[in-house]
Amino acid sequence: MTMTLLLIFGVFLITLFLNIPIAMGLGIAGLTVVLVEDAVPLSFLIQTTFGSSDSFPLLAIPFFILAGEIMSTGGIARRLIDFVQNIVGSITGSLGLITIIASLIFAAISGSGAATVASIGAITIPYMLKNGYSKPYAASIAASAGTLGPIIPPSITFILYGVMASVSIGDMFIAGLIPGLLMATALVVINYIISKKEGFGGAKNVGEKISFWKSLNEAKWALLAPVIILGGIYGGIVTPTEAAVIAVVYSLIVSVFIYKEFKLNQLLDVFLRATTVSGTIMIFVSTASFFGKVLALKQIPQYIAGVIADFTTNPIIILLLINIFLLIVGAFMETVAAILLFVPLLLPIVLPLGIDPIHFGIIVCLNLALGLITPPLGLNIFIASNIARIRFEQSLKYFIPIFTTLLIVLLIVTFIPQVSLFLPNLLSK
Amino acid sequence: MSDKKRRPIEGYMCFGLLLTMTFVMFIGVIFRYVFNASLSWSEELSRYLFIWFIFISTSYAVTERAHIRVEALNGLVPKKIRPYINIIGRIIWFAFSLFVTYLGVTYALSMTTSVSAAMKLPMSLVYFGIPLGYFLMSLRLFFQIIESIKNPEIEIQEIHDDLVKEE
Repeated sequence: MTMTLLLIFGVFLITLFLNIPIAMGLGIAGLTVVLVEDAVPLSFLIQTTFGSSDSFPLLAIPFFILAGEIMSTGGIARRLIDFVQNIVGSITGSLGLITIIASLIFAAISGSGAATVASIGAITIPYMLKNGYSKPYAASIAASAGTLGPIIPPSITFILYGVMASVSIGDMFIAGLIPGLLMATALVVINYIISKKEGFGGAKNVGEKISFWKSLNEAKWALLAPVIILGGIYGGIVTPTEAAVIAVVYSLIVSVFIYKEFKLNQLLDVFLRATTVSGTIMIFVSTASFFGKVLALKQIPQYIAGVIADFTTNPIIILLLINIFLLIVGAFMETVAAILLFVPLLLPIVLPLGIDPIHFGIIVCLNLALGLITPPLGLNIFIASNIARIRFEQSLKYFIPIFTTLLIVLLIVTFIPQVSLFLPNLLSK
Repeated sequence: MSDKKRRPIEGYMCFGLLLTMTFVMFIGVIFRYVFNASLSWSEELSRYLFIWFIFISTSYAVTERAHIRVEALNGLVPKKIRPYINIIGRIIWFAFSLFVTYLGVTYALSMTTSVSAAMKLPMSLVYFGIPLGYFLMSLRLFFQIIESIKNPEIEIQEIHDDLVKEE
């Protein structure tokens, strides 16, 4: 047992030092154990690779990525921002507020944090800078609004968690709504406090003011997208995978024929960007499943769970420890990798304590979403500081107040299960 | 990205696969909700195209040098020896890909008698996507290794490129 444990994690760690991609490191470590211990035939590798990839729910991932890429190219983000700007007007911190609300709506179409920052931040960060917001703040607020991407459904991380934990992805999508809105509210509050202190206001010269109805009319196709996607899933009409393919076709039609900002010759580029992103995510699923199966074969998750159970069985302490652990993991590791690697290890610890797997999924995803704005590997901050043209470290000036605010939301979500479970329970009745 | 840029063959394969998957799935949705008739083949076909897509897109991501690594750990390796350490890593990765290719071909060939549920597709064809993707990946890695041996500095450069790409 200890030998296998050392071997599998030792080899895995070495591959990471050798700059081998995490997905491949998992495969290599799993294969090493199979070769050394001769426990299962080698064809086991191909069987789990195929079995874990041959999944209808996972098919939603490339489609949601593709829909997000189309929407960030085709003028949908800009119309959303114009519309929100029209409603919010010019108040204290209004441009930060616009960034948060636009990210919230965009998150209800796209499945990832990075896509949200890249699409909304690319427009609102330069706009904030033009109107006297400091570079570090513009980058920080866009990056943290991007953490809504993986929490507000649809969400790629929810899909991966659902597949790994065998819970309904539709339920995960429903459960994420209130925690996501809570995060957005918390961000709105901290944005107001910081803007008030620093004197960040609204847009100085808006140019020609367009009417509310005109901006609504311009944005209606963009606003309809989350209604169709979430409405379809929440109403139990379509599966998440079908909703994802509808999102692709819908966003293509709107971008090409209605907004006319997407030329068909951009199609190859957009598809290839989506291919790159899903190529790095999907391979993970097969190697992480293989790794997880080898661990399970050797009863390692149960062993680790046993060690922790000897230490404490208090669910509050265990959840607190898991939160700290995941915050550290999220700071160093990519979200997808962290979910696929740690969910199979953590579930055997929490399930015997009576923690609901859906509630636990929201906790895990929220933790890792915070990792998107935590140094040293805060992907959202990388993207946002690149748009604002400052160095990564400079954009950390507001890290502590914003991080603390979101941390409070995380603790609320962790210790009040109803925040996550109220809606799924209500809808399943 | 310029339109004239030459792209790797995996790019065109994935473009075709993803476009077909979207089309087939959407037809399935239309039939299910508009004509109230489920197409038994559309789900199966998109799932199997997806298998091919996964492994070929993995190789495409190698050409884009986009795969997710833990830069923080690799950064701990002293800069002087890092290029050589990373070349060793790439060689191990290459060997792993080649080995999975071999396992995959062997497995696919053992499946020649079984067919899929709805379309009666030979399952060996479906399974073949796995070794094909891993084989293409090992080819890409082979050329990257040659390139790195000629000019080891690329290996340090690449870490930076990865970050830029993520941005």
